[in-house]
Amino acid sequence: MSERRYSFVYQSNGQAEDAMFRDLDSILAELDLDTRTRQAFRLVVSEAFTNALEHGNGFDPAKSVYVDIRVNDRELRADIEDEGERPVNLDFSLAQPESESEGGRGLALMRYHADSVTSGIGKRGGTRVSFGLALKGARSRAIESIE
Amino acid sequence: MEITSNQNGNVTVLALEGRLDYTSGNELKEKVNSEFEAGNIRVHLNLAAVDFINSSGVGTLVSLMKNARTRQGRLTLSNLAAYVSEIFEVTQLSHIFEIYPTEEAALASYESSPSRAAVR
Repeated sequence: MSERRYSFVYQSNGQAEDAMFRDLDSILAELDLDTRTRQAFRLVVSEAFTNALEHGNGFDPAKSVYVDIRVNDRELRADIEDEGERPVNLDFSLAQPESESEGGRGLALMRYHADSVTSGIGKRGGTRVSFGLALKGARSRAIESIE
Repeated sequence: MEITSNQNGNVTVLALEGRLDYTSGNELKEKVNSEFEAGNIRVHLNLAAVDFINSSGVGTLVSLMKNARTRQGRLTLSNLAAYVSEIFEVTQLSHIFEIYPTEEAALASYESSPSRAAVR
């Protein structure tokens, strides 16, 4: 089976989020996904991306966020990597912060929506978050046209 | 995100459209906090056209709810799409917000309890 791979780099600034969603949505538009899978993947990418921008790179425009997305007919996978100085081991438990806390929910949301999620040291020394979502019987129209 | 504002009696109604994420959350915080500072401490957010929310967007709403409470005001939400409602359930926040099925129901609550604090 063939796999498609998409790679993007984003400067850590106020336009990064919009740019990431434009690129992500253009990829997802090519795929024949059910709504729930599409929403879940968007959410998990968004959570990892925001963490990379804010906590990894501190919105330093000299640092970039690297997004690598792979699609085959079984799953969607993504690696999101920052250029932070200290890679962080992330706790993906489903525990929620204190109810009126304004932060601390992103990792639990990632864990809830992804089928697998891990973190480690990225190629550039920062934090890398990797996750996958199984495709429930959906196939890429683009992959079908290749086979 | 697009934010459309109108005044319904002494309630400021903001209709949100698009994504509620880190960037747009900051825009919303600025908008609502400026309403609070202008003395408009009763704010209703209609989320019917919000098609995406992440933990940053949720954090924005928590911040605004707390700010409303500090000012003895109210912040209400309505018209949550199923996806958005699920995010609230997963993050265990459904119980700390005043969430109404429709804008009309939310506005009616202001008539019956105009000075109720924004926390249960």
